[in-house]
Amino acid sequence: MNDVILRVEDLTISTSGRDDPPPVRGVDFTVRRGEIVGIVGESGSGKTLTSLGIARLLPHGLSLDATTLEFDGHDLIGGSDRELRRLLGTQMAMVFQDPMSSLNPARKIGKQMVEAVREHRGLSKSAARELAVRSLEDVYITEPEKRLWQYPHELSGGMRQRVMIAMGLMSEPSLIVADEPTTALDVTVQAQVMQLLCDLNDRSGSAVLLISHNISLLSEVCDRIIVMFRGRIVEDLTTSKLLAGPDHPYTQALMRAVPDLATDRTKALETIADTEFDLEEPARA
Amino acid sequence: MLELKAIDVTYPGPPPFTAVRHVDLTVASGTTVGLVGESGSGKSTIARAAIGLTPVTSGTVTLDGKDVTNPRGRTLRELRRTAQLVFQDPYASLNPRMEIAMAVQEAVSVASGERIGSAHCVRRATELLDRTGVPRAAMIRYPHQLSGGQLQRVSIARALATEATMLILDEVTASLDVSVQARILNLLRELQRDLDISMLYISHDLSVVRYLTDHLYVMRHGEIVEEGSSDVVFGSPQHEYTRTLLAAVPTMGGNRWRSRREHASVPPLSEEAERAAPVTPPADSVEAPTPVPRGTR
Amino acid sequence: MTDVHPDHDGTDVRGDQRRRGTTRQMVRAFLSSPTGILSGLVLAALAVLVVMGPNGFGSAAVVSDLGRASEGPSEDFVAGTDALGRDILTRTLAATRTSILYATLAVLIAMVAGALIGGLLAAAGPRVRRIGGGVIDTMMGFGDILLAVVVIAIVGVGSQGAILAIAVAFTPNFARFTYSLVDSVMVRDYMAAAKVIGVGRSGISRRYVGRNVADSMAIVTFTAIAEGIMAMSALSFLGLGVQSPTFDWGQMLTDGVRNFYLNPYAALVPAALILVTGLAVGLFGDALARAVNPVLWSERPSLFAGRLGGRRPLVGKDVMGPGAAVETEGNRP
Repeated sequence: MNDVILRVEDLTISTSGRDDPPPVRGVDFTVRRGEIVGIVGESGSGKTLTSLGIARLLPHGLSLDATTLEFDGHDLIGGSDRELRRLLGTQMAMVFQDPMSSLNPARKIGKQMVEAVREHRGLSKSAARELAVRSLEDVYITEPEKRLWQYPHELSGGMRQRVMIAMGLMSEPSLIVADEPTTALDVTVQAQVMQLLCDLNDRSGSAVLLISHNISLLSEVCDRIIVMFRGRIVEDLTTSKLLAGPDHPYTQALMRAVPDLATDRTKALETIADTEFDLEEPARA
Repeated sequence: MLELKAIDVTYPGPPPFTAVRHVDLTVASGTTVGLVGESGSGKSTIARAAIGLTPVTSGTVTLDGKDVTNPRGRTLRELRRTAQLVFQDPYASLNPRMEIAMAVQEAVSVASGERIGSAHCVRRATELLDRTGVPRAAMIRYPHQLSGGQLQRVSIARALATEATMLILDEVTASLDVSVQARILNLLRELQRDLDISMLYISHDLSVVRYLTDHLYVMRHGEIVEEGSSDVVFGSPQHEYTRTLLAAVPTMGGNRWRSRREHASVPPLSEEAERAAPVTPPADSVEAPTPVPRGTR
Repeated sequence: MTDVHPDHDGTDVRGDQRRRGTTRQMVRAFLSSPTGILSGLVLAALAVLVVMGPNGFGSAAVVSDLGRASEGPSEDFVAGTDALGRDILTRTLAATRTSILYATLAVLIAMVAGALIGGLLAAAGPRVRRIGGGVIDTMMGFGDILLAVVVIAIVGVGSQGAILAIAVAFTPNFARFTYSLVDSVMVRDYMAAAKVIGVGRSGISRRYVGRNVADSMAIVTFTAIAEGIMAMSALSFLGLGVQSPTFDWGQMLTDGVRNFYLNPYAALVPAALILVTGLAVGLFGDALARAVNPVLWSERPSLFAGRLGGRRPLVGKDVMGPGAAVETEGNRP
């Protein structure tokens, strides 16, 4: 069996009709089955666009080009649109930063979950409902039957994020792409969501592509971490290598810029002195 | 010195909501005090109550020994001269229709009584923006043309314009990138050292608070659950909630959520398989920060 | 020049240069919008007609020739004649002043009154706000024309009556709009920040509220002028507006419709002018509002970027574009 679930070669995302430098340039990486891979970067690094590009969800005005973009053996560039939607709808789950904006606020959780799974798997209504309850249990939501009858705004932020994950899980995806899934959440809730992602990865073997600005967070859960800066991958390394000391100065700087509970308080924080990595000048939007 | 004694803040309903309950908090002169808590814990309400933006239902606020609870008129003006608040969202807290230099000049003008555009205002505003590290070229721009980090520097400059000795900083780095956050934190440390100001630093980020502050308050559901010197609170937290909070903070290689599976279908990557980009990025890979064209002629 | 020394690195923040740069950028931003230029040209042409007025066309607009009444287009009369044998085209052009001026006057009165009421209401206490809001909503419930007709019933038919009627009819709209606009600005973070800094009432109303509502007010005023022209025509059409011998497009439309089968142009030409004017005024307001909003400056390239002394194109290619342009100009000796 092919052990690579996602293969990206020379991925470039450009703004059409403008001569700006492309926001993502020549990105290559692979995600293997069952692996948890992190992409870390600051704003303007192209990490979010990369994830949207893989799911073919780029907003208008952006175009994607790659030598290879293969998911589970299927070509994501050549295939027909319908084929693509079906494949991505069932085999790849997306979790976004703001669950409120990805859930329809005017419809009950149950309706949305059932609809999603019926569309892709052609299940009967009752089977779909049963599956929805089971997936909510999987993400540790209490009283799942009751939740099906609630509207998104009646749930807390952490719970909404878990509902989003549950929706993705119903189709038993082989890859979960999570873009800053916990940025809007409190740290204690973040811990729960991370625990959940790790458990799911353990149980079902779904690979996870986790995008975050927080390198400490990624170092806790990922097998491998990809560091991006202004549209390019600057380093792609295992977590153990990261902890032992990365090679690239940007990765090093990124690690040192965040104070942790052990940082020496009497010293100023090390900043990314090299102007090449200066983010305070706004990147070209 | 800022002292909050038995502060209650209830927002009128319906239904009435008590955001802060019986809070005692002291910021001694020249110190940095941290206030941590998760969303909805009431920490921002404390910031607004201390500065007179949100009315206090009961309790007293004193600043350098003077009662400034629910200030009006003269007391309010004096409070505003001594204590200042910097907001979380730098894009929202600056007037989008005012150039940066004007925004700071305005604050200088309010404090000094000189009119905007006067020699004094221009000089002092430029001084403050220089001090907080805002590039000269950014001064004649509008807020939307600057990065979040630069704008937060502008907000700090504005707060300093009134010669404030007490800064309340409400999640000022929450919306910034980590490398920019590091610079702003360094700036705050420098300012405190050079200008001998006191700071109340409010944040949900425990690592940052631990790095920046001497003394710490932990808030939950509108109440202070733990208080003490930062070293003690972080070293041996007494309250259950503080422990939960600390345990949830991601740390480098903390490895808490993952049961690194021995049975994993994926063999660990060999170190050779890793690729690092060349240490010096190729010339075209990184935009040099947009050079701002100066008046060349 | 002010008495401030330029800063050491050549950049400074003096007010006069700043203002000049800002104005220039506004002009450029305006010129970057094709609809703005087009509507501006149409408005310029209309302005010429307004200045000329009914007398600018000599007697052709008013002298009737009953022998040649209700003729179709011919060499003598490009758009034919009306029921009294007057040249339609000349008469329509001659009516521009009355039609536009009266409507504009009425809308400006409504704008000032509405902005005052709305602004004061937004600054008032909760009780006043509730009562005032109720009154405005009730008045809006009547609808513009009905309200105008009531006013005319009180004041009497005629030009002044019509102006007053439209001013009164439009005031609640402006008041309601200003109220919600100011209200939405009041709750922003920057207002709280201004209060913390200690900015006084006048500073807040001018630099914060004023600047942040100005462009929306401009759009709405221009749209309202367009609507005002229509409303004025409607009143004249109903016979409640200007009275003979004064004439405007609405009145001509009424007459033209009566003889529509004899010479349709008697109705179509004034109708077309009403339409074109309405469109031009509305689009112009839109372009103007975009031009005064610095957030939108960098969005589109100026059509005349190269010609207005800007050696660097004023394009949104880099975020710093417009600011950099100000700076370059500010430092030119």
